[in-house]
Amino acid sequence: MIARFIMIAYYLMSAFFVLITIKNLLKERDSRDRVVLYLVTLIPFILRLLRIK
Amino acid sequence: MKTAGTGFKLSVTAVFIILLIAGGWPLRQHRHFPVEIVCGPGVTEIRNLSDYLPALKGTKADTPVFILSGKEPGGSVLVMGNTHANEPEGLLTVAIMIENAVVEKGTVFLIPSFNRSASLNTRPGEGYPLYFSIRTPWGQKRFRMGNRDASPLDQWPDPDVYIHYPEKQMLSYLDIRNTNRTWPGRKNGLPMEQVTFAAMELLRREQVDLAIDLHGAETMFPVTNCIVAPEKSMRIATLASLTVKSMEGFENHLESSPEKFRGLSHREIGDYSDTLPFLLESPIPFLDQPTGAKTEKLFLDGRDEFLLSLARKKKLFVPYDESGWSLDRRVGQHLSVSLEIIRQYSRKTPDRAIIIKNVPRYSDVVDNGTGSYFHNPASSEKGKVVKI
Repeated sequence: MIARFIMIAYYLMSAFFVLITIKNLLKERDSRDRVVLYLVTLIPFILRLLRIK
Repeated sequence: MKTAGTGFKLSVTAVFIILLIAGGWPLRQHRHFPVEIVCGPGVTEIRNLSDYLPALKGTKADTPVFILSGKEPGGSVLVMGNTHANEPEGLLTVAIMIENAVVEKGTVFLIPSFNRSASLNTRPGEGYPLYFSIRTPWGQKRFRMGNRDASPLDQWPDPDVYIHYPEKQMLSYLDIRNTNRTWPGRKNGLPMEQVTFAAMELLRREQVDLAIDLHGAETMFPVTNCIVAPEKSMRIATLASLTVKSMEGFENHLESSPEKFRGLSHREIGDYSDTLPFLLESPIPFLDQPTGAKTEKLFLDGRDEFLLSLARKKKLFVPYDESGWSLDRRVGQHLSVSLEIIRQYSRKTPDRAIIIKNVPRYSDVVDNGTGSYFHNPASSEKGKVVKI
């Protein structure tokens, strides 16, 4: 039961991190490196949200 | 400094999306790829593990149980493959039994994909192939290559330390998803504990006499090419080991199940039921660490120049030469040793005998190939094809 609750919380956290990372990505104006960093950071969260890996 | 304009962002995002699809799509395909098994003339009923624990129903941990009942009453045996889904010799062995065996006396329970969630998991970090194919008379038959543990998509999070139930032994955190560390399981536990609990319920309710858990192990690991058995199963295991050596010409030594290492099938099944457990290990060079690339070819033929070099330095626990250790040998060994365990038990307790026909033995599989014992799902009756 606790494990299920943590798993659901983790999916919600993943969705939250995806949203704020995309928001930062859209706001970024100065650094190309940071744009690439945001995109790389998104990969594990998106794969988990889509239940791929 | 170059600024991150809209044009730059759009182009890198497009590359990112292409990479995400290129990397993610094969993993998604793997998780949904059906392995087809054709029910042979001996299959009398198909159940699911969830019939023994309804909590598993509808989950990726649920798995089919094929039942082959003889005309005459007798004893019963459970044979499990893919407890570790990166050791699919067990899956192939059980699938050959499902597609070919005819039971004359007693009942045979067969679970080809015991840790089904692990069979849907992958191991890209070590470069494992996602699939392997074997040659059959009607074409290539493709199987998913799984992982040792259940997918985190189906059971997560892992604890910092896994405390085994009910013995309270502390084990590696990862083993909470390993169905050869969660025996005897618990009804309200995590999914992999429920899988082993359901199997224990099957053993207890059906009064199963023998349980055979099929595995594979590295050639550099001492517990390989052997039968692992607790004290109560040792007599039968000894007779089986001696018989296959003298009659079929291959070694399969004995290992005693350690009393203080908990969670393993060969220990807990014996301690928590009346069933006699056996765990069979065949040598899989593919699993060894110091090999070349983890290719499908290495999995199939078991030939590796680095292992050969180590064999010359006597660093391996099995005889190893240029011929490698092929899949056919590994599957053939599992079939012969399983049949021999059943035969020896039947000789010792004639009132609980189990008589199985039409299952190939070691030399048959080595001569004809594993694939020759599989039937074409495309030309079989639809109702006879089960996707696992």
